[in-house]
Amino acid sequence: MLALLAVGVAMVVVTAPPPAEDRAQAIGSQVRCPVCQGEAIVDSPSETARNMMDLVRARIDEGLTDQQIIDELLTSYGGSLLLNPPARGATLWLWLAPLVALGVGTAMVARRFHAAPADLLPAAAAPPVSPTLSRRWIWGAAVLVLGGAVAVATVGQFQQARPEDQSLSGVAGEDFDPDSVSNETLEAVVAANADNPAINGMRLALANRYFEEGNYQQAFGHYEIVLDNQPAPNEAANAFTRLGWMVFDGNGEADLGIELIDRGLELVPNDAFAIYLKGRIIWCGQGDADTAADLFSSVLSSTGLDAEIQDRVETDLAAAAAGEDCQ
Amino acid sequence: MFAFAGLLGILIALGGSVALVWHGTRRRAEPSSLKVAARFVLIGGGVAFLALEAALLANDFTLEYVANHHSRDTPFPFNLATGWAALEGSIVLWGLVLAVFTWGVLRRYLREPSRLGAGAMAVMGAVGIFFFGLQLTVADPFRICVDAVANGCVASSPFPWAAAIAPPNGPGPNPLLQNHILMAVHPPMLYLGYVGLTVPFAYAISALALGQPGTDWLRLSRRSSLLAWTFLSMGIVLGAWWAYEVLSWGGYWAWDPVENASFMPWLIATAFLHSSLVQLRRQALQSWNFVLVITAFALTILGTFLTRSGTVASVHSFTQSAIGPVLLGFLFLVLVGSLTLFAARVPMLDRAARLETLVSREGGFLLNNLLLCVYAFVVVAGTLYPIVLEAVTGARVSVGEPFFNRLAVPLSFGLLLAMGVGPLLPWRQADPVAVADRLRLPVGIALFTGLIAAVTISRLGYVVLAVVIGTYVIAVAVTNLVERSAKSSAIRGEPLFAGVRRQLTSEPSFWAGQLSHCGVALTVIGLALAANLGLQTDVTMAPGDTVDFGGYELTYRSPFLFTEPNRRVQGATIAVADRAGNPVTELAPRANYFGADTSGITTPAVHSTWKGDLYLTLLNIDGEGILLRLNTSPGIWLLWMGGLTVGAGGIWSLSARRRTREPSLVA
Repeated sequence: MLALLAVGVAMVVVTAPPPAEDRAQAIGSQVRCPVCQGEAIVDSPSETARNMMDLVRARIDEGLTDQQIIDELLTSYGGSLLLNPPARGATLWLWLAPLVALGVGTAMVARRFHAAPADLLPAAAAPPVSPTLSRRWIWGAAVLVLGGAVAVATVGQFQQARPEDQSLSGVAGEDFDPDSVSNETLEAVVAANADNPAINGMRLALANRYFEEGNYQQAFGHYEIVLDNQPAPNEAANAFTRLGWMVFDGNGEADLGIELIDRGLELVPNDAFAIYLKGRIIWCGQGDADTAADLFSSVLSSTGLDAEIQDRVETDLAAAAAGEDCQ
Repeated sequence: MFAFAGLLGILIALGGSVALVWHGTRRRAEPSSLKVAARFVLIGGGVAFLALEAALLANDFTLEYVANHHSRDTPFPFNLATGWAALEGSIVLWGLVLAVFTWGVLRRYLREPSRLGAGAMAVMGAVGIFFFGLQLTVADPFRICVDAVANGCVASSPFPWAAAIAPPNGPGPNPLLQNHILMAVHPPMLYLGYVGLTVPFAYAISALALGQPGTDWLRLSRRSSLLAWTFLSMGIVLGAWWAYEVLSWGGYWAWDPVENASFMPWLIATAFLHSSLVQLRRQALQSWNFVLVITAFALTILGTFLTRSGTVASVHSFTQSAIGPVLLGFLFLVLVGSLTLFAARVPMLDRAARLETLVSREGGFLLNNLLLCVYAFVVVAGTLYPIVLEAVTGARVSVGEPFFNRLAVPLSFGLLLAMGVGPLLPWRQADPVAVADRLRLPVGIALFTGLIAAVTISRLGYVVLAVVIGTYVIAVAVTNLVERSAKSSAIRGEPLFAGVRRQLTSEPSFWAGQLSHCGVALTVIGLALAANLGLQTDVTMAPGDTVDFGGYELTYRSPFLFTEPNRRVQGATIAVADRAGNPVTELAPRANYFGADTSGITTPAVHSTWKGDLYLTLLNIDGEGILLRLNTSPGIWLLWMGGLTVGAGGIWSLSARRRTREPSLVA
């Protein structure tokens, strides 16, 4: 009778249809939200987490497997986001340790029931033990305590300041770094949030990447949307500067390019990259090597330049100062 | 003035603690001197706590603690709760609770003076020296503000006579902590649990040092252990409830380091409550009980270190302060000191009876201990692993819910299975056939309930399994009660009801334990339902829009905005109707802005029924509409009910013990 009932329960469970929308949630519960504190993206109400969940849902609709989707998220956002650490490498021990503990514990329990012959002797036969502690033990404890004090004195460096925001507890989160994300992923996230000013930063990162790749076609549209989307001054300046370079480099319109870069410079004066690009346009587009050289040297006088940019500016300055044509 | 009073209190308590150690370790302890010393600790701890609370009520911003954690606009009772909402204040509360428990140990000692009790008083005093010492040094709540800005203190002095410069107002406590009334209840509850575990630790150390590893220390400390365990259970449940009501993600337990910090000692304390019974009845597991008690106490210190030091970022880690290394040092001292003492005493231990067979009550307890300890090990390992790995190799990993769930779920089911067999096993040796016979009815009930649940609620494997095993545990308890009562009432010829009453009153601690088992079973069923059957979706709504969700029709009526002294509240009114369109209720999920904080703390709106909760969180609101997260949590009330039932079992056992003065255990 009992067996019949058990079989009945098992049959109902086994024939249950596979859970439908739960797949997205199951995937979402495995991935930590990169801007929160230890919350899974399925739980976190933060914007980034919601965008990542949208991406998961989109990929499920496209027919990708769970593992493919998780892999994409991890390559895009970084491997330490997996809340379920893999049973290999640095986290192998984490999985092995409980098994070892279970094994050791089972062995200890088993030993309790294996009475050794000596234990069958009456308790009185045991050698008498002095109730006072031997000096040896006291010295040993003292040495250990001293050693511990030294260890503790060095522990301060492991402390980590609490972030200023009110984020919840958990292992500390990392800042979201758009550089680690593929163009396609960023596109998907950006597309899912077409009118949202809060993702301007992400959209700019994407556009800048297209800009670096020379893919002006793609970059152009994104910069325009950023400018339409109540950008912060630095975001707008970033977009104006690169738009200015693109209209010159792509369409040969030097005057419009300079005008656009100047609008960026009004918002963020002394931006080294903008001044450099402006110099390039003046030199290459208008043939004015002297003005360009002045601009290049003002760029070099600013601090904190990227080494690569510095090289480029120095080469250009030497050429422009010598009155050469631009390369 | 409050600073003088508070510091005086701390000094008195510190002096009392030193006197406790001095008198408690003397060969001939004087009960009267111990009493005076304990009274000093209690009065000192009380004065310090009251001085801090009075300073908060009086808006005395000359104190750095008040200036940085309080505001004139903080309403009652949050102004009182501010007394333990930040680091220094929480240590003051810790000291007071420790003083109260020390007083409890003293009363026990005065009733039954012994060297064991005096030694325990000395250990309580030593722990007191540490915590009151903290209040004088790295966690001084009575520092005077000597340089202030508009709403806070930027420099302070430890001397109460320093010339004070007070800010006109303060920033108020952490917004998350002044958003719900449970915040006033949950931390003191947890502290009573944490600090209460000091008492069995004190007796254990005293027993080891004196070379009296018998059952006396267990007998003397059992009541305190039970009390601490009960408070810890309630504190954990209330913490989960608080998270659910405040943190707006529809969850209650995230295996967050802070939650783990309270769960680790609970698991070990639970193991200890069971294994100490084996020693009391069978004189076995002597050394194991010492290990458990030392571990439980060390875990409370580890938990405090984890949450208060800033090693893990947390709502409970207030600021980076020197308290981290100090707590770690204390933890090290406790572990090394007590384990060395233990190792020195090992030759005296476990000469008593071995156990005959695993199929017996004590075998069940051993199985339960094995599972609970592995469980605690998993929680400790998962919590510490990322920290240690990063400190050693610099590599960052996340260990979160999926890891813990994968290991905790099978361990929990294993524990439930053990719970369903253990209580039916007699001590020493059980007859497997007879036990199987008695299991038939509960297993049948459980499978039948499982079948009904599978047909009516869900066919998900975890849900059905949880219902089957949970019902099985409850059914075992109930059928066991009925069978035993029926037997005794048949002999006496009285009605069954009288037999049940006789059973419950004659063995209250056993049946209280069974009640706690039922509470755990309910909790597991509630967890399985809420975690597996909950729905979640985000919707954008303009005023007037209606969506269908989880059997309800939700209509966004209108936004609202109002101002309270300590916060601005922005929210949306949502009309809730059932499928047929009959109005059910109106919910107002909201965002609260405290002081200068602009990010906003969301407060979810919850509609509870016996079937489950409808849970709305306001993610975004602007002129055009709202972004609303919708959750359902089916059966979540079972979780709260179950947790409180676990605690109720503890309270029942405590109150029954008081009346009967534990005659059965001595026998």
